Amino acid sequence: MKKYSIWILITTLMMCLSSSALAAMDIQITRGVVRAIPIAIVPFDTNNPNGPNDISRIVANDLSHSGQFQVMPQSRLPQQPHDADAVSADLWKTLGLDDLVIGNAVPAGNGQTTVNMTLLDLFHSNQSTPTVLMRQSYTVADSKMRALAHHISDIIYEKLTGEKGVFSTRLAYVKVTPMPNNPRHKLYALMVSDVDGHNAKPLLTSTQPIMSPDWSPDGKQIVYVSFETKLPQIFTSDVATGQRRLISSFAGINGAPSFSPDGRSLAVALSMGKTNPNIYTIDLGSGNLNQLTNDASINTEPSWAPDGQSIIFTSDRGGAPQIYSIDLASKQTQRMTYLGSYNASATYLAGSPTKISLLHRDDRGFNVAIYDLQSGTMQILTQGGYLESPSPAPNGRMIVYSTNVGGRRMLGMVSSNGQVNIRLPEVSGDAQAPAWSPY
Amino acid sequence: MKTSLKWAMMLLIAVALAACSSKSDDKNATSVVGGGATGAGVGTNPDFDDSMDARMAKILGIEKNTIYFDFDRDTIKPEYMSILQANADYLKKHPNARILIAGNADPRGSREYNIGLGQRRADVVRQRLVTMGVNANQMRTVSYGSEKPAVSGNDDFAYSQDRRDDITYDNAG
Repeated sequence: MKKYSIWILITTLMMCLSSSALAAMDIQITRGVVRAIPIAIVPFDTNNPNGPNDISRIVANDLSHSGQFQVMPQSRLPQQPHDADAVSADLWKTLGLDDLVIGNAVPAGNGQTTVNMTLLDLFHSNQSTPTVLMRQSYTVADSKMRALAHHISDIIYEKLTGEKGVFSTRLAYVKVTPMPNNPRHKLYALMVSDVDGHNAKPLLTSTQPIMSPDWSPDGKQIVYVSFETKLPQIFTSDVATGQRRLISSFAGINGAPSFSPDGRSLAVALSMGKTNPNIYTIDLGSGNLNQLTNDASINTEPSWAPDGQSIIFTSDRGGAPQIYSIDLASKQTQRMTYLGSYNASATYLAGSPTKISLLHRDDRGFNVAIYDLQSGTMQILTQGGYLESPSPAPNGRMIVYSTNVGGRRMLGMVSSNGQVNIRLPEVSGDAQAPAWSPY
Repeated sequence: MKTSLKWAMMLLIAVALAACSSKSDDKNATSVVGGGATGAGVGTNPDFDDSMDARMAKILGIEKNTIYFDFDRDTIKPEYMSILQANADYLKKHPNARILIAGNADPRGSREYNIGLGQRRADVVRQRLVTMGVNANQMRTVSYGSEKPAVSGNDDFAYSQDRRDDITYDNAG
């Protein structure tokens, strides 16, 4: 009882602290882009330019971070038109532009704003009149402006690449901050934020570690490990209500939970009172356990194949951590990675059934890589050397991770083609163990 | 009890301060936070605080109830045998005493794999204490992997401080 009352206090405290601290989150581009779709986002006609809800700026950030677009810097725009008639197509085409986004934002009263956006095709048009690819109008509450901007990024992305954008998805991650007045002790918070790091809110806080969040396929639940009793237990939390359910509290390690593609079971790592964890599945309806691996090595980080028929996991049964795959029906196990002395934290990349993202160590340290199971090639995407917890976006085009920057952990994202690498800096504390939500 | 009351007071003050400075959009957080009070359900561990650790170290005649490990190893180095012997002697004399052995790894690499490494380190000390005659029921183990680094930093010294077992007394017996 005494414990809980303190916990509630801490929760309240964290709520105040986190929402003000994270508002200053910003994005740094650490590498450039080659061979992406050239696009220009003209600043929208608005009475609040460059404000926190500046839609055109958010859209420009979203698209440039995806690695699929080369967004023209605002300073190089040859003109700043707000409607299609004012666009001089030849002026843009000589700059090599394919597409142009223009629009405006007009107050609509009652705390609402009407946003009009137009996507113009310059490439396929004759010199005088650009072709209108898409024209949309929205009237939304001012508090929903950022969400609308991400939605506009999504529809532009989908129109021009043919794939769904991920700008309206979310991140779950663990934030660790020193306890006020006693910095030796830490506060751990399970955070949920927009995909650009804004709008971060704590789903749970604790004075003991929280680990390994993973989203349910419908995005409504997050499963994670909590050490709130000082021992590890697996819980789910409902993202909307915060309601929790205890899933697993066996002796020893309860770790690395991963939702199955149908959302009905979890794969987990349990040591059952022994030293080494093995891979199990837990049926969330019946609670039935199914043991998949059974040996005296570390077996952890299960992650489901998209068809739900097999699970990849990390094991040091060969002497060092490598990725293995086990078929659920036959329990036949196969080693998947041979390159390098350390491969872990693997997840199938959406949209490419033969590729997995993973954490790979070589002489430059720990980096995020994509391994092609068919060709056996390893593409190392980052250079930091202190990376962990890679988690791919639901379209497979970007991977979020945690890295060390100046002694603190921050989230970063790298495009799957390796061309764009950005950071989501935290104002205070450490941001770690990110998990990208489904659509 | 006194300590936790003091904590609650400090937190209350901090909450009050934070509430003063917070912005209006903080309200949104309330609907999302719901965690806190449901589903915990494992036992009644007393809080381990620094004074308890310090008091036990004094009683055991050691500086710190911590055992350090080499990179990628879970073998107990000879210089730490005296610490284990002091704990073994105490636990055998006080059959009601209970300890938690917490294994830790340095922060490099996969967090969940590090949980596995930390558990090996915790269990190797537990096993050694059993061979020294301690009743297994007096000991629990846990791995915090790389979730509770002893020091922050990314150099060999920091890593050497992180790779450790912390022995804490739930109950002095």
